[in-house]
Amino acid sequence: MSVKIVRPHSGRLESAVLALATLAVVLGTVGYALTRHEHGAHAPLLDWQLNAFENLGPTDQAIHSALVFASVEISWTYQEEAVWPTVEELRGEYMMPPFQHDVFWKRHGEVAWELHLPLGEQETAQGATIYFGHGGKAEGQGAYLMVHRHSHAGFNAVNSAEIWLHPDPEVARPRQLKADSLIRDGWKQVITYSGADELERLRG
Amino acid sequence: MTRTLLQPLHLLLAGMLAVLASALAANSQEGEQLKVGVTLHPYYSFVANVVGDAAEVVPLIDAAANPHGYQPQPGDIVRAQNLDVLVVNGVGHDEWAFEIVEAAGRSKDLPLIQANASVAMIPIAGDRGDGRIINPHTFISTTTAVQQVYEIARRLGEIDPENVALYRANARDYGARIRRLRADFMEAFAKLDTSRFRAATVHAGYDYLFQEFGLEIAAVIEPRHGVNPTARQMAATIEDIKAAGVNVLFGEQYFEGKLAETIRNETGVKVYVLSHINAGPYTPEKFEEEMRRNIETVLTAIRETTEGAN
Repeated sequence: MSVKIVRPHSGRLESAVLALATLAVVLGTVGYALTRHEHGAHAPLLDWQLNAFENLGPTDQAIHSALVFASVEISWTYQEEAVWPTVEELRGEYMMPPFQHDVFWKRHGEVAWELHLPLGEQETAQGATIYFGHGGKAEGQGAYLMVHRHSHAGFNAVNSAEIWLHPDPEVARPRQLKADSLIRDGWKQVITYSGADELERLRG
Repeated sequence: MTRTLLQPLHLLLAGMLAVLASALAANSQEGEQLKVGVTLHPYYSFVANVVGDAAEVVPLIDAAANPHGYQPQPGDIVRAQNLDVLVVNGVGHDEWAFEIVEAAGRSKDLPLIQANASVAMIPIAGDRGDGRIINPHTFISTTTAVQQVYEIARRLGEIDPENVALYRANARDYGARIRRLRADFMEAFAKLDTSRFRAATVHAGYDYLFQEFGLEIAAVIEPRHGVNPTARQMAATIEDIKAAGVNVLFGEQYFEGKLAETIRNETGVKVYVLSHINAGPYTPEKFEEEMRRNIETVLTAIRETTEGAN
């Protein structure tokens, strides 16, 4: 006579399935939350970079936004006319913030701007054109550097200016413009969080 | 026998028809203008001024539709099927456009121009307790408007190279006009005392506009884009407005509920109305007209705040 042992139903299998399902829900929720955080589609920043959206105070952020736009207009002008607009032209004829002496300029520290043209490898701009902003009086603001490197006139290029920020608004104009020199002198490159970055985050 | 004779005739006829159809199609493509779709009213103005007579500007949705929480309609899908390119905001103001494009079967082949692709995003003002949130209203500002006009011209020039010089020249003319609009008001702003001006807005639409005039927004009433606050959130907002000393509230011209009225009754703030530029007929002039009114409204609010305090 054979004996068949019937074990009482412990519910162990159901418990395991339930635990696995719970784990899947938790992991799914965490994963979803990580992909749906409010912003930050950029690659991680290096320690000498700042995210314009996350890391700047209101004045630096406003001046950065204005410089991003000004850099487009300046690039277009250079591509069409092979001439870099002077600060006086940007203030007057172009009516261009942050250079124009208007309310925006007054409320954001009355920054003094200078244009320095490329003068050769051993001299100031080392093949790059720079607009240097310093002496701002607004609380917490820094000094600004917009660098146009290796631009060529006559093509329909995407703007490629770099924007750098120094925490000291009275810092001297940098003599060396290579990235490693700027970093050594305490400058940080400001990385724009653009509409394209946000669309990439939203839609992949 | 008869069948054998007819076969070559059929083939000849079919061949002739194919050649004729192909010629007609080519002819029609040569004669047709580029059809540039737009999702929002300001983009209609931007594109119309960039392309002039060289292309047709096609609003994707009806002029009367509210783009906040919009539900795509069959007519939108038909329009999307016939576009050559579509200009979008892409960062939270026209999500429905992507649904329409998908429903029209154009996800793979319809080029998109993201007008604000190069615009530096800024956060919605005020302490929202959950980190900085992207403000998608890049089109309510003169400075970012010009930037978007340039981006549209650049991308259209890539899609339609024959007209690249025209698009670029038109963009610069239009951009200069928009900058002149801003400059017209700068002198007036410079003479104003803004030390007593503390503003809140019902809708989070105006950070880019305020930033370009060096002004700040202390609080935004809507907890999320296009979403009304709950009773509890409303009570907290009223407390915040009182604590921040807000004395001006900017409501909405096109989709105002009773929020502004309630807050005015509770706090005594003065209420003014701004345009979100998202309703009424699509026209090339709309952006300039409504931005001029918006800037005039902000100026008036500052003046009356200062005068009221003296």
